[in-house]
Amino acid sequence: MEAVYHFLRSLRWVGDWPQPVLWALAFAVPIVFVVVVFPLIFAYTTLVERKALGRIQNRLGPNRVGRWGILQPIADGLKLLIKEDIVPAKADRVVHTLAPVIAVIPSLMLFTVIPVGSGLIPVNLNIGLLFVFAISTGSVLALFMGGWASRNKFSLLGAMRSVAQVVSYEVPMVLAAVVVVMAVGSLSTVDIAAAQAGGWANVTNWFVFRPWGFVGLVLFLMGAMAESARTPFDLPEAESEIIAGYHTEYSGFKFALFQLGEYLAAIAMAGVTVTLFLGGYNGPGCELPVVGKLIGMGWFFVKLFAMIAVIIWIRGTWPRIRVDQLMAFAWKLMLPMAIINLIVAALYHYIEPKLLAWVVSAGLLVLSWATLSSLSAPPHLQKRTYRYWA
Amino acid sequence: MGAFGTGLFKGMAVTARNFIGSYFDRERLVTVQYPEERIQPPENSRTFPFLVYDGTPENMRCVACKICETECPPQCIYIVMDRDEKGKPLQRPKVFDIDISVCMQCQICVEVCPFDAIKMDNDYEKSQYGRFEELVEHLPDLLKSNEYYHRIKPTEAAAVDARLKAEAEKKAKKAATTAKPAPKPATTSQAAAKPPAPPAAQPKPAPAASAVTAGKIVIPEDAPFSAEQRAWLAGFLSSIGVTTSVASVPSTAPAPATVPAAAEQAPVAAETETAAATAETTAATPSDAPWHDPGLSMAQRMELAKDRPLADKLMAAMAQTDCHACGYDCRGYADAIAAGTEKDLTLCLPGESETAAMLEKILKEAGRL
Ligand code: SF4
Ligand code: SF4
Repeated sequence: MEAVYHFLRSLRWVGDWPQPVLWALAFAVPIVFVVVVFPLIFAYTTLVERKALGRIQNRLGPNRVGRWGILQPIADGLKLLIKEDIVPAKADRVVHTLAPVIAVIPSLMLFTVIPVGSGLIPVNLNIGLLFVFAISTGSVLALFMGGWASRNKFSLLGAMRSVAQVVSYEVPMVLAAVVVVMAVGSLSTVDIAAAQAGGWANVTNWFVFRPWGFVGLVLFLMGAMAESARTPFDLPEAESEIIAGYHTEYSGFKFALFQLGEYLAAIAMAGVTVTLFLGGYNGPGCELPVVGKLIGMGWFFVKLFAMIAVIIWIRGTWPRIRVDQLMAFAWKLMLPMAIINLIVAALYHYIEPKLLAWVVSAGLLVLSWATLSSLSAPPHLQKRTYRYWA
Repeated sequence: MGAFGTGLFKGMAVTARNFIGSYFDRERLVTVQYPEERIQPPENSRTFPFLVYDGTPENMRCVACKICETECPPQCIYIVMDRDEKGKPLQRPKVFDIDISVCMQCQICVEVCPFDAIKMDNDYEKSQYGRFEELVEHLPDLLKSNEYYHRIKPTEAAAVDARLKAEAEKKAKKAATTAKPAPKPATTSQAAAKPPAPPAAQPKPAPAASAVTAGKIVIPEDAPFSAEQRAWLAGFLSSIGVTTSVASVPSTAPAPATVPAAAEQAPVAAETETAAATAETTAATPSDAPWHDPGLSMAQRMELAKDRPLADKLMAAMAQTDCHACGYDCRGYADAIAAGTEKDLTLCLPGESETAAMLEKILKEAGRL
C-alpha cells in the first residue's frame, strides 16, 4: 500500500493531487488487485485443474467451450448464476445463506498479507503469520455453518469431519511454520520473504534448502491441503461417501461461492507456502534496481503456479485417506515430526559451521522420520489360511 | 519392501508419465471425440429395423405381408397394404410405421420376414425433441438401399444377396419346367424339399371335440386362455417340436351338430374371424381348420386336411399367416381358387414355391387342371 502511495506520488501529473485522494487510490489498487486477480486465477485454476486431471487420466479435459475450453470457467459461472437457488424447507435460512459468504471472506483476506513482490503487499502486518492462521481457521466456521444449517445428515457429517480435520491439522501446520519464525525472528510475512534474499542467485537462502525447511515445507503443505479440504484430505466433501458433504444442499451461486472460497484458500495457502519456504518473490534478477520488482513478482507467481500444479498433481494421484488414517497421520506422524523439526531447527541455529549443521540436522530428521514411520507402519498381517479349504 | 511412503511417489511418477505422455502419444487418448470422430459400430450391433430396397425406393422388398407386424412382441409395427383403385393389393405397404420408442430391438421382425425385407440398422443417432410423433418412423424414413445395408453389415448383406439370387434362379428354373406339361417334377421337388414329417398329428375327430389327445401336451378346455392365446400356443408348441395336441378351443357355442355352420361360431376361432363372411360358402365351419397354424409343416397340414373338401385342402396348403399378400386371408384365397374366381396360384408369398406347387398338385388331383 505504501509502495503504491509512493509510486503515485512520484507520477508527474497524479502526484499533485490532494493527499486523501492519493491515499484512497493507494487503498483501492491492492483491493482491486486482490478481488480481481485472484478470483481470475481461481477461475482458470479450475480449468487448468480439469485439463490436468484429464491428461493424468489420458483424457483431453474440457475442450468444447472455446478453443482448448478457454471459455469454460465463464460458461460454468453463467450456468451457476442462472441456476435455481434452493434452500431446504427445514433449513436455517439465515445461516444457510451466510455460510457461503463467510467461506469466501477469510480466503480473500488471506491475500492481504502475502507479499507478491518486494514491498508489494496490501498490508504489512507485523503479525502477518499469526493473521494467516487466525483467518484461515475461520473457514471451518463456514463449513460447519453450511453443514449444520442444511438439516441434512450428509451435510452434517461433512461438517463434523471438516471440523475434526481442520482442528487436527492446524497443530502440526502451525508448528511447521514456527521454524521459519524462529529462524527469522519476526512474524511479518514481509520480513520472512526478505530474510530469504541473498545467497547464490537469490536462491540458496530459501528455507526449503535447509533440512528443517524442507521438512517444514512438506508438513506445512500437508496441513494446508488438509485445511482447504483438497484431495487426499477431501473427507468433508467425499462424494463417494457423503454425496458432497457440507455443500450437499447448496446450488447455484451459493455453491459457486463455496467452491470459490475453497479454491481461494488453497491458492492463498500455496502463496503462504511460497512465502514461508520457497523464498517468496526472491529469485534470480529480483535485486535489480528498477525491473527487479517486476521480476520478483514474476518469480512469485511462477512459484505460486508451481505449488498449485503440485497440489493438482497430488489430487490426480493419491486416493482419499480414511478417517482413522487421517487422524493417525496428523497426531502420530506429523505432530511428532513437527516438534522434532523445531528442535532440529534450534540445533541448526547453534551449530557452526553451517555445513556441519546441515549434515547433522538432515541426519537427525531422516532418522526420526524412519523411526516414526516404522512405529506407525501398519502391522504386518499373516497370510490368511483357510483351515477347511478343500 | 519399500520405505514408508514411497508408494505415493511411485504413484506420482505414473500420473506424471500419463500427463506428459498424453501430449506426445495420441494412442493414449482413447476417448472418441464424438461429434468430430465416430467409430463404425460393429457389424453385428443393432439399433432399430429398417426396410431394404433394391435400386430405387419404389422397388422395396417388403410385400406388406404383415408377418412382422403380427410377430413383433411389443406390437410397434403398423402396416397398411397399398391397393390400386380397384382394390387389388399391390403387394407393397402404403403405410409402414415403427414406433422406435416402443421397439425393443429384439430383431424378431427380421427373423420372421420371409422376404429379407426388414433388417436391423446400426444408426444410433436417433434422438428427437419429442417423445411421441417424432419417434415414429414412417415408410420414407425406414427405406434404405441395399447398398447401405452392404455398407453397415457387409457379411450379412452378402449372405442375404446370395440366398436371394439362389432362390430367384430356382424359381426361374421351376417356371421353365412347369411351363412344359410335366406334372411330375412339382411333387418330387416338394417331397425332396421337405422330409416327410412324422405322421404323429392325427386329424381331429370332430369339429368342436373336447380335449384332443393325440399328442403329449393337452391344454385343457377350461384353461384360462382366449382363442388367440390358444392359437398362439398351438403354434408355439408345434414350432418347438412338441407334436401338437392342443385341445380345441372351448366350445362356448353349443355342439356343432345342433347348430350348423354359422357366423356366430366365428368368434370361437379368432384366427379365422375375417373368414367368417366367406365361410358360409364353404363346406367347413370357420372353427374347423386345425391346420390353420403357421407352425405346422406342409406335410402335417395336408395330413390334417386329407379327408376334407377341396377348399379345405387348398387352404391347408397356404402358409396360414393370414398375411393378405394375396389380397385375401388364407381361407378367402382357398375359397376363391375353389370357386374358380382366382386363377393365379402363386399369390401366397410366405408359402413361397412350396404352396404354389401344392396348390397345383391338389387341383390336378381334383381334376381341375
Ligand atoms: S414380414 Fe412382410 S410386412 Fe414385414 S417386412 Fe417382411 S415382407 Fe414386409
Ligand atoms: S425389432 Fe422387435 S420390437 Fe422392434 S420392430 Fe422388430 S419385432 Fe418389433
